Amino acid sequence: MGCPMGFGELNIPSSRAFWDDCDEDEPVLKDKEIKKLQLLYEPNETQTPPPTKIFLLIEGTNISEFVEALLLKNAQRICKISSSKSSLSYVKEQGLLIASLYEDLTNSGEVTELLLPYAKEAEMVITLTVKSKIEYQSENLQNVRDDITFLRGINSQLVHVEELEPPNFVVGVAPGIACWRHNENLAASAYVAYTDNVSLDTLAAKPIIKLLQDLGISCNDTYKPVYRETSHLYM
Amino acid sequence: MLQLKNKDLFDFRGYTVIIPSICVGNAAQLACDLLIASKEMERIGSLMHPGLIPVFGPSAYQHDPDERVASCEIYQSKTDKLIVIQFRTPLISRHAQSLHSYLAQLVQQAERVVVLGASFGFEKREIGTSPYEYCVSENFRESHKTELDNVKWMEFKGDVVFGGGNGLQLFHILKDKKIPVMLLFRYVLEGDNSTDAKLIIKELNDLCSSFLQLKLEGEKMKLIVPISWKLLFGNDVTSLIF
Repeated sequence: MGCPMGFGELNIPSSRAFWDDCDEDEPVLKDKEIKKLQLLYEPNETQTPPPTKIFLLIEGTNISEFVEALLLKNAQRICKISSSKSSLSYVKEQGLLIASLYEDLTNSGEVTELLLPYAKEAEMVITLTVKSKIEYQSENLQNVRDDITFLRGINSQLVHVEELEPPNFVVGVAPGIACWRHNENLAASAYVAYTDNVSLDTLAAKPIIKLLQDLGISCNDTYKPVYRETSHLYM
Repeated sequence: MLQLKNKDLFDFRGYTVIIPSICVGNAAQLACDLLIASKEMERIGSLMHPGLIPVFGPSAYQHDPDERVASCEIYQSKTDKLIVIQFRTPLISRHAQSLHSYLAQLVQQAERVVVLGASFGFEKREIGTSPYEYCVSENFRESHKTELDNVKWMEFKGDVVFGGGNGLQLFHILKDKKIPVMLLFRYVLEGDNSTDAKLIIKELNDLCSSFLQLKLEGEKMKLIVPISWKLLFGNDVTSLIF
C-alpha cells in the first residue's frame, strides 16, 4: 500500500513489472538508444567457437575465485563477458569450454544470447548455479538442514543427484543456456548447489567438486580459498 | 528468439491470445497459470529475449511433467482456439519496448488479443461499481459490440493504470499495429492474489463465453491449481535461519 513517507510526499509503490526499478508510469522513450553488451576478446583470440566436448557454465554471486583455482589453471582465456568478473576460457586438452559467470540478472538475457553460438556447437552443456540455501523451497527442509551444501539437478545425468522439485527454479545465464539447449532437444544438464556459504569455502565446495568429477570434468580434489584479511581496524 | 516445438503448425489465425501483464499481485500471471492448468493446455514453444531474465526448472504444471519452465512460455488449446503466453519473470526496462514489439509481431495474425492485468485497489475511485475496467481498440470494439454493451465492467478512460505494470504499454503497441486488443484489469490489493486470479478467469468465462469456452462439467468451471503454487509464500523461514 502506498504511504506518505514524509509530509506532502506520495510514495507510489511499484507493481513489480520491471526488474531494474523502472518507473512504469513514465511515458516510454521511443528513441532510447540501447548500448549492446559485447564479448571482449583477448588479443589474438578467434570469435569462432572452439571444438567443445563439454561447455561448462558456473554462475553465482561470488564464484570466480573458486572457478579460477579449481578449473582454469591450464585454461586459455577467450574473452571477458560484459563485466570483468565473468569470463570464457578453454582447456584444449579436454575440449572443455568454461564460463565463469558473475550473477547479474539485469544483463542475463543479453549475455545468454551472446553465448548461444558456443552453446550451439558444444556436444554437451552442463550448468551449475550456486545459490544460498535459504532460497530452496521444500516441505521437507529437515532432510537438507544439516548439509552445508546439497545438490539438485534438472535433467541430471547422475542418478545420485535428486531432481529439483517444483516450485523451485533457477534464473540467470547458465539456466538460460540450459533452457535453450533443452528446447532445441540438445543434450544439457543443469545443477544447483544450495549452500550455506555462497562464496564457497573448503567444506562448502566439496560436494561441488565431487559433482564435477562425477561428470567427467578434470579438476583439483580440494579447494582452499585465498585468505584475505577483512579487518579495517588494523593492518 | 522463438523456440517452437513444431514450426509447421505455428499459426495464430483464428485464435484468441491471452497475454498477462506483470502487474500488482502477479494476478494476471496467476490467472493464466490457472487457465493453463485447468484446460491442460499444450506447450507449443518458448521465447527468449534480452528483456527477459532466463529461467529454467521443473514443470509448473502437473499435467505436463516432462516440460521445463522458461521465462516466457506459449500454450495452445486447439479445441478452444486459445493461445496463452505466460511470463515467469519481470522485464528489463530498457528492452521492454523491443519485447513488446516482438510480441506484437508474433500475434499479428490472431483473431483477438486479451491483455489481462490488475491495478492497485486503493486507486479505485467509484465505490460500488464493478472491480473490473477495460479498454479496447476500435476494431475490437466493432467486432464485439454486443458483448461490450452488456458487460458490467467500467470502461477505463485514464492514461495510467497504477500498478498495472506493462499492461497499458503493451495494449497501446498492439492497438497501434491494428491488432484487435482488449486490456481487462481488476482492482486488487497485494496479498494472496490467487483468489483474484480465480475471479479473473471466472469473469472472463461468465461474460465472454464467445471469447473463451472454459465451461466443463455442465456450466460449472473446474479450476485446477498448478503444482508450482505449492509454498506460494515460501518456507517457514524459522527452520533455516538457525
